[in-house]
Amino acid sequence: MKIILQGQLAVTSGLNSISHELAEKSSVEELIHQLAGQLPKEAKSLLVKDDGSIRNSLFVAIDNEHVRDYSTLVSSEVRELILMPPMAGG
Amino acid sequence: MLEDIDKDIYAWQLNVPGFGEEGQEILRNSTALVSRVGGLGGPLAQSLAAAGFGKIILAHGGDLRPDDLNRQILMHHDGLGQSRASQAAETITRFNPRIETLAIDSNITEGNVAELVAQADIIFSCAPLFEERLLMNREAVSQKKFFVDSAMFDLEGQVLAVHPQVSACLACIVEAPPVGWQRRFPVIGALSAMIGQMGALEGIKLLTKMAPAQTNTLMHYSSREAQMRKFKITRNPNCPHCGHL
Repeated sequence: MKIILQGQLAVTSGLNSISHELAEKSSVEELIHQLAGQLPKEAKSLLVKDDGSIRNSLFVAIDNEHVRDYSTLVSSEVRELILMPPMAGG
Repeated sequence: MLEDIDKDIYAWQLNVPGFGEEGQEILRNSTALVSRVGGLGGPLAQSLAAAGFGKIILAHGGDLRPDDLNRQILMHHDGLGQSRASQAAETITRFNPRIETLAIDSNITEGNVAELVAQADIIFSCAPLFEERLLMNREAVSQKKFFVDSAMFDLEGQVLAVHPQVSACLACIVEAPPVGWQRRFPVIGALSAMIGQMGALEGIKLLTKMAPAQTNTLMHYSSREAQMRKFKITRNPNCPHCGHL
């Protein structure tokens, strides 16, 4: 599975995508926490708050379908998990 | 009925299947509110003028600065220090004098949003701050006005077309201004202009039905990857703007 980082997340982490081996079903929340632990502080702060909870402004999609419930399980059939902080540049 | 001069000016788009004279009349009788008219809203507004909207309200506060000029193509280098909204309206008028323009020398605020939205048939949200975008979204949904949010960052951009009280709105996916968004964002003018054109097209589709507008969809383009994605989204039953409607 590929984890695609978009917008500010890509710029602050210096990464556009990460390959992730999904050993077993994980929730979106678990995957985000795993990823956050690997990212620089500024990028991490776009994913999780200081108290460890996931920012509800983060746009998450699984294979191009928006996911609002972060407890959603990600199966091995999923090709892409997209993470995108909201953008407002005009 | 279209006047002969309109048939001449818009001849090439009258041939677009699904548009025709009926679509042209819809645009001629439509008023668009565009806020703001910078790197994204400027090119968007110019395409609305080219398409033949009847009236365009251009809301943008402040005077032109040197660092606006890499992307704000309705402005001019000799207009530095002068009103952005007035310059944008002047450019639009010179480009298409048959369009009525109204320059509002102010950004969207709680104090003016209801009145400005009430004057328009469609709202194009192009401001660099979430507070302004969400104000326009709230008011457009409440007043049942079509709404198109276009936004960009770095080499990416996105467009959300909203059929109010029917499809997902901006607050369904961004409930409140997020932490970490900075007023100054990386931008190359060609990217913001491109996203503006996508937004203009979605607006024309919402009004004329010449093709299905991409509602319940977040369209996202990455120039870095040269890839377009269409994210399926749904209305949020707990949305602070449309959940109760």
